[in-house]
Amino acid sequence: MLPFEEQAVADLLEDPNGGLLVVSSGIPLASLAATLLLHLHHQSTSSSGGGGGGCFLILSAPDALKDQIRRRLVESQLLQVHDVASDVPAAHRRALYSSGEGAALFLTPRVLAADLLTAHLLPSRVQALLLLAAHRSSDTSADAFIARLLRQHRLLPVYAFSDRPHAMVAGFAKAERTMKSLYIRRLHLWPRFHVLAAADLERSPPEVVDVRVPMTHPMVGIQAAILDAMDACLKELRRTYKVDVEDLTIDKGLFKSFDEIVRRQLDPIWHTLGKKTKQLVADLRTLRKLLDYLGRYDAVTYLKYLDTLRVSEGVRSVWMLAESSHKIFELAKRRVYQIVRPDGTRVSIAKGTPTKKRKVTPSSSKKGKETENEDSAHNKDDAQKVNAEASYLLVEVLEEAPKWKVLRELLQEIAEEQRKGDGVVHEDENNECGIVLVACKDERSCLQLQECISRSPQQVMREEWEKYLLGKAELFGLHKKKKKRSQQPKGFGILDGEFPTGSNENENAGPVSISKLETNALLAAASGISNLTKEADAKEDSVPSCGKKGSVKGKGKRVPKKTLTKRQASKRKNRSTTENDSCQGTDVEASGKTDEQSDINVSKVSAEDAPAPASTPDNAEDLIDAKMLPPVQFYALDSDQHVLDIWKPSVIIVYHPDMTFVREIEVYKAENPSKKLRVYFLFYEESSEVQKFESSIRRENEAFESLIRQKSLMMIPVDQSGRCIGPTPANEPEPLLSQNSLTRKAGGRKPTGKDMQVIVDMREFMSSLPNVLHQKGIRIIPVTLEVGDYVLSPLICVERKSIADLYQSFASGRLYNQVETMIRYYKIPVLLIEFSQDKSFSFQSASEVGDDVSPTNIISKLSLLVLHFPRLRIVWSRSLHATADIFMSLKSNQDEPDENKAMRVGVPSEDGVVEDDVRAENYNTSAIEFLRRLPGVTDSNYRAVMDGCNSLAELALLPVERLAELMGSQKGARTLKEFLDAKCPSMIS
Amino acid sequence: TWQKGNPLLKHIRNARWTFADIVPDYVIGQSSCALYISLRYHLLHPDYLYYRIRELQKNFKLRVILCHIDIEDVVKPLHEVTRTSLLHDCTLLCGWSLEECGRYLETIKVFENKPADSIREHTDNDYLSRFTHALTSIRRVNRTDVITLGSSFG
Repeated sequence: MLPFEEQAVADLLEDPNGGLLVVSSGIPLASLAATLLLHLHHQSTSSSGGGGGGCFLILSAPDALKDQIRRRLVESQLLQVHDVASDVPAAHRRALYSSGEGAALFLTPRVLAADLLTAHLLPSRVQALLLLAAHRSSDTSADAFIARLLRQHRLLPVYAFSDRPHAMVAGFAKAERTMKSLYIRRLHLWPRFHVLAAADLERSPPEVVDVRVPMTHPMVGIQAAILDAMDACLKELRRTYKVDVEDLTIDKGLFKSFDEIVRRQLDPIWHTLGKKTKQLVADLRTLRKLLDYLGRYDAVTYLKYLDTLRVSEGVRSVWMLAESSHKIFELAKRRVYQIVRPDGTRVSIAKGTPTKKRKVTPSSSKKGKETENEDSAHNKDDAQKVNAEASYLLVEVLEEAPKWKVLRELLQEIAEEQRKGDGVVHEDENNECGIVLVACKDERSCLQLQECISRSPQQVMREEWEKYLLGKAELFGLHKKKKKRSQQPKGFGILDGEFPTGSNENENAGPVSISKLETNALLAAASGISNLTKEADAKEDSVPSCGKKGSVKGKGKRVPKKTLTKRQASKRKNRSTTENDSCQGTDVEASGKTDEQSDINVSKVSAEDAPAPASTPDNAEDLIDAKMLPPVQFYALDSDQHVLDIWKPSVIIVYHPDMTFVREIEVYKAENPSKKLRVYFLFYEESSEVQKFESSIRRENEAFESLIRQKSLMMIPVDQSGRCIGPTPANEPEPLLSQNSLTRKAGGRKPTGKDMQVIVDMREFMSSLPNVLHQKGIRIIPVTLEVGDYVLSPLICVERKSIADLYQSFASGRLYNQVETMIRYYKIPVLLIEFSQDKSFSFQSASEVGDDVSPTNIISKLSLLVLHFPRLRIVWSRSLHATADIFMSLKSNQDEPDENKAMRVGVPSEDGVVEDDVRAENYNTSAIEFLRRLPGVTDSNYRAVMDGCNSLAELALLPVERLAELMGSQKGARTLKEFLDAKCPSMIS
Repeated sequence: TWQKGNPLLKHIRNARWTFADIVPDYVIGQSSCALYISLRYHLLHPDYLYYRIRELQKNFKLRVILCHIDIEDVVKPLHEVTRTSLLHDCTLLCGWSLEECGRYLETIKVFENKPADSIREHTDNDYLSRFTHALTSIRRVNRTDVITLGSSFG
């Protein structure tokens, strides 16, 4: 805990209303929240003599944050911590709520809202409410709903946290509105440049080494091409005159939030936009991703991604057809392989000459390449021999990521230094200077780097490449089966409809296009490799201790690797002796052993490795290996675990620079000032990576400046006793009901004396409508409904569909079923079509209404629905608030609904009465959604299926007979089983 | 017969129509009819819709109120139209242009005897589309991801 953090918590505690705390990303919210909780707990126990009690509710904490807070609280041993997941049964939850002598409970908003409404949790039992993602709440969100439910009854502090300042400034006066809706008066800002924070963090800064790695030529080329394409898209977008140009710069285009900016501007007029504009927006997103992956993925994977992209995006996208995109594809390909045509004459390649050939290629071969050429000679021979028949060459380039080499050098350097250091200051230092932490963006690159270091980069590239080729070959096989299909998906460059029947067609190479040649070359190479691996497989089966052929291969491929592993192993052995006392001692030994093994019988390893690309790689195993390889630890930033405190590294290599992680390092260093820490940053020179990093810092600072400005102008209404009044209903239109009552009812007296009540399905608590209904003063009764979403009266039942839902459930046929059941049970079944306030109020622009009646159009589908269910009533609502008004006026002359009756509607009778325990909560809703979409699973049988197996994974393993039993139909069971077991032919489309 | 010179009619091209002396604005089939109302008109004559509905009596199984949304501030008038049609057993359909309104009438006519197959649960036999359909139910999975997943896990 740093001084400035203490100060921040103290500031928060000053106001009994609570406060909103916005910090720079990377400053640990977990420790702030935990400290705050402990303070609060201390206050309550000391002031009320230990009796006051009640629990602390913590909402919407992401898992990583949750774990950290829990760890800190458990350490302190003052507070009980419980994680109330949504699948905890209601009775158990109630016990937790009431047990609390100051317990901290992690909850999801959906569950909490329902529990407050059903009085499972009494507001008087709550001491404080903590929101850990304040940037996500708004006045209609569940957070605000809960804050209101709690504050209605008594004054209790609400503390909101956010580490996304830029999200807090999105939209008009976002911070102010959020605070009002959460009943918070004070805004506390702790940017990185806050005087106290800066002082604390810069007292003993870590040693920083900035390593700029130049990109290879193709990479530079690709980057330039992508930026060109983005620029072109932006220009195109500007030309539509629909968007505010000022915000749209390439610089902003690097971030995800760019999409939001564009969306916010375009949403209200989305339906009037042409297809092209919409596509442009989508394209920008794709391009941004491409740019990001350029630095992150290796050449082969990148190419693979581009291939899939081409399949899925296809002809729809704009940029795909632009010139720069051609360049992207071309260069990406060149990073992997090249096609060389030997001057028309058929050169049969002799075994001795491959190196020569490769020199001819104008590839970006690097210094390190020579050795690689040597070692992979044999393998290439095979590939080329096959290609020779097709009268051209496929030359592998397999460019390595430049950072790999640098990383390796760095590690060697560090090891070197540490060894020296160990020699000099043996005693006091060697415990500390242990771990080297390499931080990358995602798990995948972690694994890959791991491989690069433990084996050779060439190795890794080769494996990726083989996988790629095998994938192609598999596809080719599939294509053969369906000859009708055109070969487009795997075509490169120009597409032509003809199907190459075999390699012999290529003898007359003249008319055949290059793309076809290329494809064939790839396929040939692939088949070569798959043959090889097959042979290797066979060999392995018959002769376990490596036959002749395997050894040949092994000799060829493994030479550099052997030396490398040896070197590394020796390095490691040095270390392992000195480091045995550390907690990872056993691991060190284990890894040392594996290394030794791999050194001793190299050929065996190769035999094992060779078939690996054929089957799917066993990642789990690799992962374990990765964990066992100190002193180098890999850390995926995506995984979001805060490892610094645990591993206590002395050297950190930031492989993918990330602002949040930098801050974490700073805090870590500041908390351990005595520790030596050196940080290496690996940047690609002149790349978008640098640009992105820098502008992320700039963006955050700007956000904070804007927040500071907003804070100075902010107006939060407060009542006489100084408590916050909350959102003013003044801007909402007066409900129509009261206007009507003025004229229709005598003297405009209040229409109903008692509360109106509406029965709401549990699942609807994901949406904001219950919240808004509650705002209007309607009592909400949460239950699990089998039929409909809302029951307004004994007669009226409403199925609510947002626009996206509507389209989706029309497509899936679900709407039809839902309406069917509603009609069966209720006299006035209502389909509510709810538009979103900030989107346009219409389905389509006038120009989109075609000339003919097309069965896929939404109009046609609605008409069909209406024709089949003449009793169905449709309500069109402009917004949430409009819906609430309509509900109220519909209810006005009806009886109140009965929750028990509503709950029983549509439930299969053998189930009997539903117990108090709410069923929907006990299942993972997204898994149910997934299950419902599987073929053969219907509304009538999915519940039985769920009861019959514990997870989707288990479902996949069930035999057909059991499925048939569960589903009640042979046919359905068979379709489901076939679907689950089918091979994915995804690349053909 | 009041419909002479109705601009909506020129957007009905996919179904034949004729003038006749009828109670509703449009008689679409044996048992279905439609009343047309524009929100602008409703604002001027708030009671018009009610009287027209009352005239209909119970002669039709499907009674459509075709509401033309031709004003900006829709909330209040639309609320009233919704309420009226709901309480008097009419089905409300909204169109944002004359084309769209005309299209509703056409479609209801054309589909008069069409089975509901296209909006019912259908089993698409193409593996990929089912696969995509199932996987995209998980948030954050899009079509490209489906293909990537499919090709890497088989």
